[in-house]
Amino acid sequence: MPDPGGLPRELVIAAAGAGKTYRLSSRILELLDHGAAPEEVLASTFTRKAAGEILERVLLRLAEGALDPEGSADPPLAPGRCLDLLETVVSRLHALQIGTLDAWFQGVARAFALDLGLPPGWALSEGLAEEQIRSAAMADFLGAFELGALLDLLGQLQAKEARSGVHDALLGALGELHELWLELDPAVADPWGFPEGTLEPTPGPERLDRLRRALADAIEAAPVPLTAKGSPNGHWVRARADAAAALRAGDDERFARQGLGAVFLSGREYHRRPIPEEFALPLGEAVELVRSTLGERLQARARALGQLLPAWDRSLAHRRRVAGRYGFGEVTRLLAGTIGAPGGGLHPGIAEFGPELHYRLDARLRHLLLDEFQDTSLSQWRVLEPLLAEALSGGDEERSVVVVADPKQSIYGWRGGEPRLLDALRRDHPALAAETLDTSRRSSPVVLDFVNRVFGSLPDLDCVPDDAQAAVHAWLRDFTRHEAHYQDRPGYIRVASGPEGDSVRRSVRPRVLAAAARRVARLHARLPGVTIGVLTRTNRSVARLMGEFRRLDLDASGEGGVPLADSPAVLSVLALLRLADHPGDRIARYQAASTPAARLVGPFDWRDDIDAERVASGIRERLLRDGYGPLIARWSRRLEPLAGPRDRRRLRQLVELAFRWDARGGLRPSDFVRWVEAERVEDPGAARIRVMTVHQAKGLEFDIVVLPDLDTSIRGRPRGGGVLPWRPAPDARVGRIHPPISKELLPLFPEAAPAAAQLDEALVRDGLSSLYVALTRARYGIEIVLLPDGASRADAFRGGVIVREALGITERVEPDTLLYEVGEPGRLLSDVEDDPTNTEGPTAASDGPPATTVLRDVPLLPSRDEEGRERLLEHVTPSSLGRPGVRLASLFDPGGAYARAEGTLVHAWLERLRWIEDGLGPRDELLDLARRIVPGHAHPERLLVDLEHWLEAPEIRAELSSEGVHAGAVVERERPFVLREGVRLIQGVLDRVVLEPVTGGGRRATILDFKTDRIAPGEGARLEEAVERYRPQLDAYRSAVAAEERIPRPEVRCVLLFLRTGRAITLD
Amino acid sequence: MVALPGARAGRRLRELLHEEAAARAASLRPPRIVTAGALPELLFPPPLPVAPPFVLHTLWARALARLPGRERDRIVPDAPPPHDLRAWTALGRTIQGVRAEIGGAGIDFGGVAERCGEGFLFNDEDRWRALARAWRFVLADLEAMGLTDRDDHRRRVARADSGAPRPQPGSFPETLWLVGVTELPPVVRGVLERAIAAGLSLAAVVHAPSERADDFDELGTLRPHRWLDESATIPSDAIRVAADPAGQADLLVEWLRGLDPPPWPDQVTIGIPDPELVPFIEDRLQVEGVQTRDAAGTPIAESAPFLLLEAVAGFLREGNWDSFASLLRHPGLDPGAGKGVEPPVRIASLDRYHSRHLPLLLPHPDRLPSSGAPGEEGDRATVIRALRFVRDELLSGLAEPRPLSRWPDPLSGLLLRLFGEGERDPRRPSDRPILALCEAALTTFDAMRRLQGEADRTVDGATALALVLGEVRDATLPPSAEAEAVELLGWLELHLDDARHLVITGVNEPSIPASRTSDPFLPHALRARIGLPDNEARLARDLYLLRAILAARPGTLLITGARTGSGDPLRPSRLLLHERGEALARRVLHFTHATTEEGTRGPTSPLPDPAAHEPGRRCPFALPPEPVIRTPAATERLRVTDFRRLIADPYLFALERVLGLEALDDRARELDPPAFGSLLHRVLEAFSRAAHRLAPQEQSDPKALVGLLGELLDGDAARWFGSTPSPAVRIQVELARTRLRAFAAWEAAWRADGWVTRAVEARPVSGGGVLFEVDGLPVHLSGRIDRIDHHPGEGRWVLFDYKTSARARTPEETHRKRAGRAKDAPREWIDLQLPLYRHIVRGVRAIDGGADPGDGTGGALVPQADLERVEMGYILLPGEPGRTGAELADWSPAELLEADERARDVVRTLRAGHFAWDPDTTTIRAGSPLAALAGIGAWHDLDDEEGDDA
Ligand code: SF4
Repeated sequence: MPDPGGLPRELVIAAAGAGKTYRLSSRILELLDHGAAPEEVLASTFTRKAAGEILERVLLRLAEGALDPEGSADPPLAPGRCLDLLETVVSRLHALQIGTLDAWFQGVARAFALDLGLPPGWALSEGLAEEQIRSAAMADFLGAFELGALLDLLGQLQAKEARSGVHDALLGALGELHELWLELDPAVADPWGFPEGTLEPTPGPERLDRLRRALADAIEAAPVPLTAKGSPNGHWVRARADAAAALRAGDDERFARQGLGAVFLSGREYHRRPIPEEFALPLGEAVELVRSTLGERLQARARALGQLLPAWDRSLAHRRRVAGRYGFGEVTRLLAGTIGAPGGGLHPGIAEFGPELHYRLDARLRHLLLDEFQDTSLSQWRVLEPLLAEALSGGDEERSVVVVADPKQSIYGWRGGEPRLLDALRRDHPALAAETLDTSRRSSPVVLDFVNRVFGSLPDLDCVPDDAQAAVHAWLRDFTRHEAHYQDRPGYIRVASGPEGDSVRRSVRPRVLAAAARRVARLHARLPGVTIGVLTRTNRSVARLMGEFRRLDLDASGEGGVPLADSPAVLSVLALLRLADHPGDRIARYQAASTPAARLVGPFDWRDDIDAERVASGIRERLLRDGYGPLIARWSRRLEPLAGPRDRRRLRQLVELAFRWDARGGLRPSDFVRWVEAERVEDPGAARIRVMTVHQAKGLEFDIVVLPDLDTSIRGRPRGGGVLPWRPAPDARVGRIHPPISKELLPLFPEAAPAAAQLDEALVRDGLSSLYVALTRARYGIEIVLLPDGASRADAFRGGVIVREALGITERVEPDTLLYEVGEPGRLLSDVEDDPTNTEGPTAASDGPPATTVLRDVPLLPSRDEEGRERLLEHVTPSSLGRPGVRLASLFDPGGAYARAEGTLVHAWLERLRWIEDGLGPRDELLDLARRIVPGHAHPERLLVDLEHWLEAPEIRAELSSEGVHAGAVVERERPFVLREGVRLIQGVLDRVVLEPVTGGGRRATILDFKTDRIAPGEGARLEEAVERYRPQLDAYRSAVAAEERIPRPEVRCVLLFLRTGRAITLD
Repeated sequence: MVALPGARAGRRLRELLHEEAAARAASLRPPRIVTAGALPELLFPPPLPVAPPFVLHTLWARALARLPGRERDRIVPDAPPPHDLRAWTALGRTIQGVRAEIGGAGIDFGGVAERCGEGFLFNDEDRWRALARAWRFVLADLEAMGLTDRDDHRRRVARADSGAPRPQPGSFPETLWLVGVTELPPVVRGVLERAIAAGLSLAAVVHAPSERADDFDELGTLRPHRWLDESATIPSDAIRVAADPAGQADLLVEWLRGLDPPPWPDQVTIGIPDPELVPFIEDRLQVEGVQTRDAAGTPIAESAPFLLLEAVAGFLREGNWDSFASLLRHPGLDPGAGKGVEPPVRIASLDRYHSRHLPLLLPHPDRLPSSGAPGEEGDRATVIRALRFVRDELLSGLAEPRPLSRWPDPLSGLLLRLFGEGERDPRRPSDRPILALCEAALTTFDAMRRLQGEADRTVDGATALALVLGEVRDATLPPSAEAEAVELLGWLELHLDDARHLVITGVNEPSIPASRTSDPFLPHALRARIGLPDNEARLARDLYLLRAILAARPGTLLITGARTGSGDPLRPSRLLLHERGEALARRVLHFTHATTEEGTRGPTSPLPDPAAHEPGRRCPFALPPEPVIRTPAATERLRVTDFRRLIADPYLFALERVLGLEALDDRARELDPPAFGSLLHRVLEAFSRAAHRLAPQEQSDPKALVGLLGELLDGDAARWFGSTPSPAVRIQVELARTRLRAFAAWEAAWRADGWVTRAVEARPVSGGGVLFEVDGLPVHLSGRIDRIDHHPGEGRWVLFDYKTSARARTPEETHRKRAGRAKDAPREWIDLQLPLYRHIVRGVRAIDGGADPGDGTGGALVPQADLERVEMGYILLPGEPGRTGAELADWSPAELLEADERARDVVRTLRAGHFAWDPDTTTIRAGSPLAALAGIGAWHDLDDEEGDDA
């Protein structure tokens, strides 16, 4: 609801498909109509695509309104007004601030780079570059750190050791912990582990031992409950012995996790008997004891982590600074002012930039439109909050705020999205009017009924564990029944189970995925025009599905992309590149030699080590000389004719990557290989079937959605290596980080329970949101493939089970069974085609423009020989003629520079000479000239004396003398000329030309060229050599003068004057 | 004299003049052709040499560091540490960039400070005052060095400062022609005005209808506001929208194909406002057999010689294995190409050495560790030779720090060692970047030599080289004009180009018109205030240029992209939307529709499907390349460890054992699980051999055993990984120690029980293995038994294998598996190592290599009588210390016979010599070295957002 001033200040909670983009663009139009300058509006969202859509929508609506006699409806604008606004927006197109939050932050960081401590020329780091920075930082970190502390951390990571080494395990663990560490509240003195004083101190070792034994004895002495027959209950007897043994052995963890200790802690019964009084006492004391011993260990562990992180932070900051590379995360945190500058100092965040922000950005931000607010992370919030507060403050100035969110679609908790910020927003800014949009313009009533049913019944389902109830309710708070805008849209739902796993080799999941792929193939065959989105929870499933579609020979596109290594043709090229880097890699050698890639490098014997070295260095050299892009493009062109359409596409994408790589170059082809292996590249087939994770599907819609791996646990894997962080409020910094405490031990440490609950709530929220997003992508139909019963080890709190229970499917799920169906997909196509509401629905599959054939025998452009070239000739100077090469040694010779300066000066002086008889002119003018032309020259006076001396040599004198020269002769000095020879255009300056009439008609010319080579009079051979070197140059002079003056060549005499040698050599 | 906006236009003018003169058969005295930007120094030569960039950067670095804290904080609150000269110089370069920019306005820092207060959203005066102060330091230093600043010189001339240089007699040309110079930096304009006042005669030529003469000023530059209000009048059909860069290239080709008659390449120019498009266009045209020439040239930083120098700098800085390995992979170090290692280094040797010893840093060549393994010495010698070459020859003279001004000589020495061989020909493609690089370096060297006083900091070779590289990296290598090609030209040069056909790609924001929307120093509002061209002026200029282009060549095509190569949406250029009224609305619709229709993406598959894709033919790319491998000869010898692989995945066995496929690289930073296992095995073997040296009572004393094991571990680690192992390896050694400690406790108890170790690493005395007959044909089993223990008291023998994997698994768990899902399904053998030890042990003699004692036992270690009862098992050293110790198998004799039978089956399949690939049963896992060969790998390393609980 707009406030009285007319500008909106609202918080819109929108359901999926409810038209968020439309609402945002309406708001922007309103603001513009209100007189807001386009650059005063900051509209941010999370994907580039969404940002593009908002801008496009604004332009489109204005343009349509301008052409429609009715104008635009929402907000109501007359056509003329639309046109005015359109002109305004278009003229400010470059200044519009509609984009992703990351891009905007990056822009601000560029404008404040030095203030934020970013080094000049810093760049964003992603992918391989980021990996390399982290790796290098880890090496530094490991080198700098005491082994002891690391060993403890490694002890915790030991389970992972088999999969990843020390380096990677630490990188993973520290990476996640580091994020938390950066979020720590600096006001908390000792945030690691349990708060000071909550743990009882552990008794000394001897006393501890005694206590243990005493307690074990007491437990063993306690009478166990009797059976109905009156004999001691066997379960209890065994449990009693186990508990006592664990205590005696000092295995506190076993005591607390299993058997009586665990039962006592949980307050449950054991084999349907409550814990008798006699047990309660010693068990209680033992629990206390164990709490203090285990607590102490956990505490030490937490502290050790706390000590590692500052060192890790330093290592990372150092490497970032050296590389000048920063991630979006750092940029955001720098702007938020929550971390120190990379160099270690502290600096202000955006909040303190104040008016300087608007000044440097050339825009006063008055209007803030934040889309997808639920995905905002805390550090992003810290940047936005001051702006938002400013926009909401100040009565007289015109400001506005629109926040659009769908907390039900908050699936980015794993990368910091914090939907609970909405609560903070509501709390701190009550001025924001709340509004809910829950009419879907996307999905059919059948689909929405299904969504309503699944989420409506959620609180009552058996599969929701007790400890998740609170989180489920919190999530549901923002769920209202969805209504369909298009009541007549057809739709269907189908739930079936997949096949059973086969006994030994394959687990069941791949088989279910394969079954889903087959189902999709059938659907596609029946409804070829329909778009099908196959949405998964993991990238691994995407890759498996892509593999299946490949086997089924079905064109599916892996949205968000799969690395190019899914193409055999690409792999063969990569093998060649691996070989180039590692000629000893026999796998690469074999693969390169036995696939068509071998043709690219000529025959070689993969078993031969020396041959491999030769091939490898050949490839490395070509990579360096031609660049990755051009070389791989050439390779790809040679392989393409052998490959099918898909591999051909992938090869071309490899070429595109190679061109992108060129800018970074590098000497290690395997770096490129690793990058290609990691970089996801969308396969842009014109496919109707698109496979992607739910995350990537956000913001997209499909006619039919197929969900093949819903049977994964709602709770995803927690980040941060299992530690339990706690925040006092959703928008507060982390107040405490508890060590990792397993679920079973949690009752032992109630102080960590709120933290564990916070973490769990986030996991549940992400999981439910992911289910919600998956179900709401469908326009017409949803198909779900479930695991048959007994096939999953995951807990029951799974998407698949939720669906089953919501639909009332209670019996055991057998393999390959249809479990539920409403509507019918077969009718869909005809229905969809008739669907009057469908504006963007299925259309006949288009495969893009028809393939045209390259006519290889007719070149696109003709070519011709050099002489014919009209433009863009090769421009050369005469001195480069006939000079085969340059000796670098002479280039670097410091004397060379001196000699060049002297040459310049001598030429400048001689330019003033008409005839030798006239002399060079006044000395001080000459020296003045010297100072201007070669200001650094040390001894012009000496050089001048030398020159005067040189000019006395008879041969030189003779050439410069007017004696014997025709009286009508013209002397030209420094005469410029241009001459074309083939594709070359030679341009230069002649030192001296004397043109004289010849008795009997015609003219002749003498060209003099001054040389200052240091050749002594006796060095005949060197002189000859020099003459030969200069000959082509003089030939060009002769041609130029002959052509321009129209004098026959034989009448043009060319003379080289070797001033230092005193020789004048006439060339024939 | 003729001044043009750019050098390229000058070259073209020269060509035209020559052509024209030739056509008229006239004698040509070509004019002096210069770029407009160079005019000030030509007209008013500076009295002192102009300071080269490197000097300025260095002086700025020093000036900023000298500023008092508060002032410096205003510019760079988080300054680099004082010793980091590279960072300071980079900072200096940034600030000098600002200096050059305001210099164009003929103003200095103080001048900006005066103007940046009033009327802005923020008063930035402090910062500019601080900069002004630093600038004074720079100027003082320059003066001391006898240098002048170019921009300062211009400013003085333009303002006719007292003491400003006056025109020199004769330095003015007869007439100065300004051709097509529609924009001049204020300071240049000021200089020209001064020259005119001093008598320069100037004529300006611009391209426009004569009635619009008033829309230009006396110097021929645009009056921007006169051009802002009108449309560029572009016909809609001259605009095409493409989805992405490849699509733009496709549209371009389509357009070229439509030209009739097809033009010669030099008659076509392609406008490239956005350099991102260059590779796409070059590649696409290359497919069509058309050469291209990018007028912008290629950055030196991408050339091979630059990368070589970077690798050298990397090695000087890091001195670690990675930088060493990169350096040696540069073809420039090939002996053929110049100075190189003789004989050439085999890269495989480096990789092999690395994978054994995992060096992170490089010690002195003499201290490189050696394992004594076979083949090791050759590899080590190679590494030593290469290291000596790099350290002692290539980098000689670069170790000692020295003042910057004294670095040029050693650095030229390095360049000469790398590239100095023979003569370099500027026309040879491989030599051009070398020459360009050396020339750029030379300029920097000259500047370096000028440094003096405190600016002449003492630095090490790594820093000196890095500074030089930082200075030359922006240089570009001009394209070579030898071959006939279509030229790719930047936006600003297009209007003076005269190709018959023109297409302009990438007509998008923010490439054209160029605009700035935020700036650390010079926001748009300030630029306008100090007289630098603002966004409006740029728009006006570009509107004019586009009109001029279209007027000269009505057929010009404009291509707009909808997205960048990495998928970002692009906005169309405002030039295309510079319309009014309904025309604008329609133009906007044109774009939005074109982009929602995904734009144009040209044909992606111009080729027919190859025959390989016909059913029934195997595609040449299909992986693995050989779906069936046949053994070359009947296998006669088998290791007991081979059986597991043969059972699980015979194809994998064939790849590894028959073809001998094995990965080799130098990526490892630490021991992989097999190498970690080997480390433990080596220590344990040495331990068993050494344990008898302990006093008897120590032999079952855990402390003594821990001591011995620790010593052996340290010794082995030092031998293998040297005195400075990588930290990760050091940690792994500690992890090994933890396991050995747990082992010692068990071992002590085991010995106390009465067990004696009788053999370690025991193998059959005949090298060929133990005879194992299958179907009447012999097979020899080979293998080593890690350890054979004997309990004399109980008469028991145990054959042990050490197991060091992280997870503890019993022999039963590793050797047999249930055949189905049912709980009662029979168990099948999947590994035969331990059962086959029973055969191996027959060949093991009591004394290594000893003679037959002649007692009828043949010297066998385990007496015949005991052979039947010999036991076998694992000694586990797992990650969980609680599970350390012996795990004995308790297979019945019948089960063991079954195992033998299974072994015979395996041998039979092996003899069939036919190993077929089966994608459903393969044990090749994603992420393993063979995965790529098997075509598995697309989902390797995918980083999942969520846990995968399957
Ligand atoms: S080119 Fe075709 S047949 Fe060959 S590997 Fe690729 S997809 Fe398979």
